[in-house]
Amino acid sequence: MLERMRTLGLFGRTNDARLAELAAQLPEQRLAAGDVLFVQGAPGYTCYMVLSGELEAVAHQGDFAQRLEVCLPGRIIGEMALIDGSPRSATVRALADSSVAVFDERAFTELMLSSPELTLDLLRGSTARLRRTSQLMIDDLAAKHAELARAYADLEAAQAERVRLVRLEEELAVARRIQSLFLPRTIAQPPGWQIAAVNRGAHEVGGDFFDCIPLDGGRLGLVIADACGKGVPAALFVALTRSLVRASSQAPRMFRHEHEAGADALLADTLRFANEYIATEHGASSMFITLFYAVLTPASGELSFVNAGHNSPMLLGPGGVLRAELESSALPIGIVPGQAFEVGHARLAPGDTLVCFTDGITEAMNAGNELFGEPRLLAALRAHAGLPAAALIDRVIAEVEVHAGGAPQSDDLTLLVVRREAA
Amino acid sequence: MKQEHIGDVLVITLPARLDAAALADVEPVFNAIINAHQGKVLVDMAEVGFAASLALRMLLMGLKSAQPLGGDVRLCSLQPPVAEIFRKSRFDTLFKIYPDRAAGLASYAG
Repeated sequence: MLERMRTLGLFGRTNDARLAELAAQLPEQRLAAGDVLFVQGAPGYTCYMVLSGELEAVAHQGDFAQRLEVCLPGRIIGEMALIDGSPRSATVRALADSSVAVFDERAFTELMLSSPELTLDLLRGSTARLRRTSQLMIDDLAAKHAELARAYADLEAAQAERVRLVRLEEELAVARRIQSLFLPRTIAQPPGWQIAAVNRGAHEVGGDFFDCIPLDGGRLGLVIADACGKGVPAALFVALTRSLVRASSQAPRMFRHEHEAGADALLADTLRFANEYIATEHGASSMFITLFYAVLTPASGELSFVNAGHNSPMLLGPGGVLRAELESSALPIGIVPGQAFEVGHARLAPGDTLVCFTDGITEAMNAGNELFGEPRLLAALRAHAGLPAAALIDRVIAEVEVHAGGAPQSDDLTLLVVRREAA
Repeated sequence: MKQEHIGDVLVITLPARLDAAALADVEPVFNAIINAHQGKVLVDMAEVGFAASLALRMLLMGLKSAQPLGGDVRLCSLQPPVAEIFRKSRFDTLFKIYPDRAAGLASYAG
């Protein structure tokens, strides 16, 4: 130990005899890398001088650990506890295999008395270390404060954005609830008929709708429509068109006209009125809406219809065999003011089914950009022809979903099925 | 989307997919060049395999902005699925449609 002590700068001014005497009475403690010399907060009755290896002093404050310094041979460690009797101010751990000389209070006092220069060196070292430690703590605190301020600012911005999004979501949820009221609350089921429909939006609010309007003489107005685009702009046109068509269809009854309007006149008038209104009042937006409107007389199965640019509804016989497609004879609503709408006619015999759909069904795409398409729709309708109307709709929607293979629904899906039960 | 001038006709070639996502990029450019040209436009749809209803609206807006200034928007080279969309929606009655680019250009020459 004497040899090693002699090489330390600290004893440069201590005479050899004195050093030898000191070395003889000091126990040596060896530490393997990772061993703890002492723990922060523990009482301290000894101090140490590093003879070889290296040790680190780490101060803990709550969850934070701050390395104060790495102690190399010659450094005296733990003297503060001996000087003021306070608990250890840091934890000291060996970074490499090390050895230290152990001073108890008496040995330490003797060491200091033996050499005023050594005491002064120790004092300078301690003071410098205290300053450095305080500065490290202050720097660390300042950095943590800045970090905290930044995190707080980020949090505030995120919170403001969240509040904005929540408000938007709430508004859309309200819009969605209101829009659901633009669908018929109940769908009439005349004896011998099954009428079912589904409308599933791809977004919070949708650009499709269907309607089932009670008309004079037990007749039913059946509507399916698809506004160009989707989301809020399309939803506004859905609200507008649905209201115009329904109000216009029911006007003869509302205004107590004496004569029941014939189906063809009612269709032509309603379409002309809605088209004129939208094309002139809302022409600047260049929005349009494809619409199929049929008036069904349940007693006879007679169907009068106008197809304004909409996907052709399919008229299926028993077994789901395609009998006719009710093709479009006019542009969608809202494009050309003054457009005339030609009325077509068909008849649903017992066992027949009318299937109206929007392009969200036929244009549902799989991962390979392949459309569901009319052939798949027809095949599904034929495969499940024996099912009641509502169950048939569920099957078709399920097959569209299987085709899409979990891809997010990109367009609104609407399906309206009118079945005349077999006699 | 490509554009070229052939004589006094602005020929616009639309990209393969005209869905809502693609139109967000295509539509502003399409509108801007038609408004700037103010004349004869031929839209070559040879590459278009899918056209959403918003694509029809874009063409309709082009037509509405060109016609009052004495111009026109005509279409050529529709693939069968797109021709079917035009037929079903009766948009085929709004536009002059030609089987190929040569026929489209010839219609303006006459």
